Amino acid sequence: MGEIEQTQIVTRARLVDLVGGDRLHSLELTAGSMVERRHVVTAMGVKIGRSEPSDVIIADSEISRSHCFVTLRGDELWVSDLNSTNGTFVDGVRVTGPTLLPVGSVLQVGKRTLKHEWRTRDEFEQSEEGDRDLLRAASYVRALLPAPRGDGPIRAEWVYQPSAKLGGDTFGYGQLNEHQFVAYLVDVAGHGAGAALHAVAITNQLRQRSLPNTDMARPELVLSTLNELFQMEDHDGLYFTIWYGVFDTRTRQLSYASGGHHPAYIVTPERDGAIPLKTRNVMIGAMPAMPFIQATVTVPSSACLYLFSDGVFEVVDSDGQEWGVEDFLKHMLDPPLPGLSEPQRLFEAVCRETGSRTFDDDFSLVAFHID
Amino acid sequence: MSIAITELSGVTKAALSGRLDTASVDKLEISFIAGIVPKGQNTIVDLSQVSFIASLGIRMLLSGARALSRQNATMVLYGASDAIMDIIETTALSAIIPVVPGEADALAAVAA
Repeated sequence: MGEIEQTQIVTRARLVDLVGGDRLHSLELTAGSMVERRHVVTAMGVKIGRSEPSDVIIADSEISRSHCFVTLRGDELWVSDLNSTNGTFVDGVRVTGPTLLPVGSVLQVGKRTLKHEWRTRDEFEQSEEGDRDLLRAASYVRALLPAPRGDGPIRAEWVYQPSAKLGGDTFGYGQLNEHQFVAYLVDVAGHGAGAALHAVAITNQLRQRSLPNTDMARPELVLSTLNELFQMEDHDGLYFTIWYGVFDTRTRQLSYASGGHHPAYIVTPERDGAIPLKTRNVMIGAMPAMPFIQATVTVPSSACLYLFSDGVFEVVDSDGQEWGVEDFLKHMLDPPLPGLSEPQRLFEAVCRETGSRTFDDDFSLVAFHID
Repeated sequence: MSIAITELSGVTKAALSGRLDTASVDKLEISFIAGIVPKGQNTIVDLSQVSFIASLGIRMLLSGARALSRQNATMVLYGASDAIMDIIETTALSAIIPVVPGEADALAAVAA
């Protein structure tokens, strides 16, 4: 009997050792109740800041470029502030020297918080599975995007760079019939697989070019029908913004309507200004039976039409300044660069200005070259 | 981001301050909705101290307005800065929720 008890004790001890030795220290960047990103802290430590070469880059105007450093000493995490402008805090107390970051404590930098979790590999892998689901959802959204068009009178190139927490961007384009070309971009409010699934449901309706009882060549009717089909109360509180346009190659007339969305822009070859294309319509799904309007513009020869989501310009530059669309337009008017598509040129410009290649929201940008 | 909910002669006043971004909306939305909807009365929302509204912030305001509307109550927004008005105009939110300059205008609007 005594031998049995001893064996049980040894077994338990080994179990504890196994669990203890199998744990990983991680910093979990949260957005409300959601974990946005996880960073395992190894013996190398991690530097947190607003731009490269930090290991953990967080786009927040109140975070310094090199804000703080977290190290693993033995089995404990310690944090040191790197003379940041706004300070580093552990559970609300400002860090003035190397400070212990206990398991469960909250590290605050700028407006963002990272929680110190000590997880088993199983727990970590379960969490990672959720992240992988987001990656799979992003991959599915990407698979539904149209191929770039390198030939013909209307050529299209794009960049789609989903955020770590995956937004609800999607877009599409193609021939509506022999003479009409359609293009649209959808941005579902919110993040995560739910927003992405909603974007997929919407784009599947549009890809089929067959909304019920709707002339797909009339943007205001398309938005009106979408508004009735996708009311937020029937779709888990989700609404979306959209820009939808139809270009007639015979008349060079572009009919368009935006629902809660910022303008698309036409830029002529002289690149001396950007023509905004916007109509004042509400977001889709916000309220039933709303009126929708469209507008029409004649597209100049050899013009470029830029269609993009707000993730392209709602960024913080490396000086900590929050951008508006005007800041992005300055780059849009810059001359093209040989060897780079227009969307890629603009993506690189935003990366350069922000000091980051990852963003808080999806970065979706389509450029159409219209002969 | 913070919220203060008070009562003004039978009208609910919700004063928001800070950035209505994704992270703060996650923390604030329940307080906002729980603070205004159960009362079921006309509500004015002070945006004068709000510096940014993300799409989820728009959704929070919409949800509150729609829930109040079902109880025959009205929501009115006021005090928006130029930057916030740009966002409101881009989304055409004012076509659904009235937006007026000041608190007196807001009280008059819900009384009308």
